[in-house]
Amino acid sequence: MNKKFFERFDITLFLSVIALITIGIFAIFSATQSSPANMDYYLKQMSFALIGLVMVVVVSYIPPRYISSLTYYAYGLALVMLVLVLLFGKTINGNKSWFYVGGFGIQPSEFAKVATVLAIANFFYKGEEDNPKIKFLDILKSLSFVLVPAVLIKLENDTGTTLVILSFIIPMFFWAGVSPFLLYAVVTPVFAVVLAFIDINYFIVYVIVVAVSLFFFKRHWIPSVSILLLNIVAGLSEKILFSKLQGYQQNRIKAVFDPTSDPLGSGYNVIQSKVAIGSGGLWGKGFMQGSQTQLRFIPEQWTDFIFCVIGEEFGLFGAFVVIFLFLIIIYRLLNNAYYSRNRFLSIACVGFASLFFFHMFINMGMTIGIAPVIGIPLPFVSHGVSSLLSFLLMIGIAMNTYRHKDIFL
Amino acid sequence: MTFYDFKNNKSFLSVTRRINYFMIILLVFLGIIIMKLTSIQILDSEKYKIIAKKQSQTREIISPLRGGIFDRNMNSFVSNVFRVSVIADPYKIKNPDTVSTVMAAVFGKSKFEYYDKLINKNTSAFYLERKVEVSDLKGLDTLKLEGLDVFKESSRFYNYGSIGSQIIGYNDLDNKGVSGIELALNKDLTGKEGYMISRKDGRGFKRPDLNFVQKEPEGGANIILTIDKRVQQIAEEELSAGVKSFNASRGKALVVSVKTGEILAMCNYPSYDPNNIKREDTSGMKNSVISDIYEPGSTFKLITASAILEEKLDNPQDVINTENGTYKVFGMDIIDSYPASSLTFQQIIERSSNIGVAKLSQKLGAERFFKYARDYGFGIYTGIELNGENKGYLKRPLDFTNGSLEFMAIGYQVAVNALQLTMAYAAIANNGLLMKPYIVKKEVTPDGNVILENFPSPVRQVISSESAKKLNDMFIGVVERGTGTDAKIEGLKVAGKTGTTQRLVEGEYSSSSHISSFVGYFPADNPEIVIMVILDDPKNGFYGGKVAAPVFQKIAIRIMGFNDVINTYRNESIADNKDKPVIEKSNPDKDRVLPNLVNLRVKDAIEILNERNIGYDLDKDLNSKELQGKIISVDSQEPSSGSKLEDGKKMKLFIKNSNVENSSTILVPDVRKMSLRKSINKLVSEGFIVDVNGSGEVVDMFPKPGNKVSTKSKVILFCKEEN
Repeated sequence: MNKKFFERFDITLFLSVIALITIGIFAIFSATQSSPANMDYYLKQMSFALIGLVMVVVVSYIPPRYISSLTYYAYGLALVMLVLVLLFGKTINGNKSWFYVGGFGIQPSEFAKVATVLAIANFFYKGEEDNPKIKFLDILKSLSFVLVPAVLIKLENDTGTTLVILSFIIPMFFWAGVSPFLLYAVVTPVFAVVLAFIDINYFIVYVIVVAVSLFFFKRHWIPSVSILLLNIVAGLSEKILFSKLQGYQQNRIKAVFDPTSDPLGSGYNVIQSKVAIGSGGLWGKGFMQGSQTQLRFIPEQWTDFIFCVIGEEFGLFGAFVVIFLFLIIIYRLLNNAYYSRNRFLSIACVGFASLFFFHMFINMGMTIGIAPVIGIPLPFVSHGVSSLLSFLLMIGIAMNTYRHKDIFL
Repeated sequence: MTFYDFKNNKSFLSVTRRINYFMIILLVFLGIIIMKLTSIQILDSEKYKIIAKKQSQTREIISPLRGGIFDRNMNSFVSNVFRVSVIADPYKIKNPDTVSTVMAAVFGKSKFEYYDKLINKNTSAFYLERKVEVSDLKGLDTLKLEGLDVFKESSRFYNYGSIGSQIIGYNDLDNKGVSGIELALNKDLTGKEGYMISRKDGRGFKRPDLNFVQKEPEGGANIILTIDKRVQQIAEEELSAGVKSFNASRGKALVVSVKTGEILAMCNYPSYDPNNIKREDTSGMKNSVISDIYEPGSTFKLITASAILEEKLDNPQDVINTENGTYKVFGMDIIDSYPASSLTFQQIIERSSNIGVAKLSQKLGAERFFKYARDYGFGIYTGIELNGENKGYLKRPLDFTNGSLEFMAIGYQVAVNALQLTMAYAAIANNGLLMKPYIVKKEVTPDGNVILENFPSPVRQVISSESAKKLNDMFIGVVERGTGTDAKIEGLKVAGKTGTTQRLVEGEYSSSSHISSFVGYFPADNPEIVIMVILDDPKNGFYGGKVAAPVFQKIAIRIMGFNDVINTYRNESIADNKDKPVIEKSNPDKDRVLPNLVNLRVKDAIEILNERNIGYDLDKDLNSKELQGKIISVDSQEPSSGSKLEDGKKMKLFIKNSNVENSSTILVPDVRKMSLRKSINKLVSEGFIVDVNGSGEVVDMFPKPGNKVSTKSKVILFCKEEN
């Protein structure tokens, strides 16, 4: 291969993804061998990974303007699929988010994530042509791109993916050039909700900090006071809403912060996965040697709890390798966004990067008890055809960004 | 480098700063994950390793097989059988209806008996059945019903039922000794537990793991008793016949080897069946031979007689005034049953004159009387290995009141147990040498190591052999012409002494309630066996010579029939034992003496025969599974026990008919995955009765296909509607 090829082919990103998928296949193999019904999952994962990697290469060659022009159609198609799955889908583990085609389950919500990121990126790119400055109305318009699929996915009862859809919007705004003050207005109420949940005293301190920091923005008093009020209202309404939740729903949220409060219910998986990871120690128990994995203390470990297979059998060392690979992948996505002259692909890359980051942090965090158990997969590692292909599609677009970094569109 | 102008938007943060913000946020959050991972996997790793180990490993105890209990001829008193226990956890049982239907089918009880227990969800797990003998589980153990734990527990079967049951004792439900040898030697019989580490998975299923440590259990020691089962059985039969014919309330009998102190039989009437313990009636469970004490009456006259002879105060022919049958001592009357004006010392013993003995005791004095009584072992433990011995009560001279000496001389104001008295008479028969009684001959581990062996051990020379000889002649006279003539045996010289005691009823000596006893030994010129018989409260006659002596005689006659009883025991006297290894296997001739195998499990019987190299034939063909799995026992044997097998011949064992599956059993067909209608047709046409749970397709059935059941058995079908 000549030097020129690597200038157009993001080999670091590509190899990191392959490395993660390989680790994932080993972990899936280990997790499924004691479960007769799922023993061949690693083969399924392997074959779809091969298909997906071919797709990555193919997608990386598509001229960016084709992608841009196809974006809204893809987004529309995704919404149609989300509606169809609500009407005709199959319910698995309480989520009505599956189509069954020829023996394989397909989750439209996984592809909706890609389509939504692309749609928002395209919106900001189009907006640029007429008006380089992003206005408040643009923010509301672009928010509706997120809210429609978010509501549909929430209707499927898939809270995890709903949160994922909401996760990338703020980084994308930030990257697209939305003013920090506007973002501040949007972000601070979210923190108010979280802190009000943890402890009302934290919330009170937080409101004071917000008031002081608003003073430093030196904006007009009307928006400043509005933001402060928004924070207070958000925090208090959380308290009221939480008290109106069903007992089991409250427990589920509480178990995030204290898994032992509900050891047999939602806290069970967290305790078990902490035991699995903790008992792995520095170097792990060895491939296929993890007692907690092999004896199936964690149900369906090959999906959302795959990280504890790695933690148990390959130890802290194995976990660090996985974290390092994610760091490279996210770094490469940000890098490609930074160097791209193509505003559409650049914003899309930031969307993908935050999506990977959100998936990685929440997934790893829930296995070690610092994030809520909302059931989202670890990209490239968890078993799942739809998620694997949709993540690889994102990688394809990121590699496309690298290949066409000098082209305006 | 030139950038597209949106990146140079100067109104707020530059692109580079924005990227840096992203990288900072990314690194901070990754840092949080890394910190948390490090704390879990490095700092708290040991804690989690322990939790992981605890929840995935279980240590299972493997119970050792309890040791056997054999008589001196290796007849096995006990077998270990497996019985079925079922633990139910009502909380986990989803369908009590199904579970109780299945339980009812296996254990043959009413379904509702189980159902009522199972619907109470508030109780924790309990034994639904405990140690039940079930010949056919019908696959209950493989059905894996949730909340139901079916397992087998080892427990005892007592091969000879009530024979020797007070000696052998019995076990509680946890197979721990409650009485008898089972209790006294519980520790040795139990053996050492082994264990197995197995793994438990997340759903609670056990998985044995070959890589894990496992310790084999060490089986309990086999106990070989000095008891001779044949003698025991004879003594029990005659005792029971005697108690019945004289209408007594209770009885005991004891057969001891004179020269060695080995106990050959120890019987109590009434008795009990250790295979069928009844909590409400415990009267037969006590070993009253050692645990009951009584006033011995005339049999206690041996103390005075021995002391007088040993101290040379009188000769057997010296005449003593016997006061025509009534003699006042400190205001209390001593009365003779056969009044006489005067009698010789010899006649006093033969006719059991109370007055004569009382007068002799006065010559002796309290101190010397006490010394001899204590030397014979009264008032102190004999040291027998069984629990619950009562050492009786022997007044010290200091405590003697007026008349104590005279009344103690004729066997009142003193309490003894039957074993003490028997051993005292054995001492006279043994030339004045008192032997320590014992009942445990040997303890041998399953792999053949002798961990304990008892040899005859003398306690003390109570009187000289000359005195013993003279006393012996007096006791021969008792049987020849005195009060004990009913003990006489044609062609065998018997010596003995009768005893008749008025029982203490509500603090006063009763004239209508007696304890009648006889203790005797034979052959009198070289005694081998001493036998004691005591009957409580006989209603048809009361003199020891009339009531107990005939029982003695019948036991003695039947024991004499065994040539080897006398011969074998003689060989094992003290002198011989010093250099002779006692493992009997070295004597091939003795091995040919056939053991009693009746009522033994066929498996055990075969084992015993193999051990002794005796060939055998079974009258039915049994495969190995049948031998292992079921309780099949020997009905009869040919030739009978005790006889010898001729060279080249084989022993024949007949197996109890009811235990073997007869030809009318049929195989349960597999109707799973069939439609309900089709499966019912099939089952009914093959002669089953069908019970249906649910509707739709048959998903499971009970008994499982492949089991053999008798025709007209019930088959339960579990059905589920197809999706």
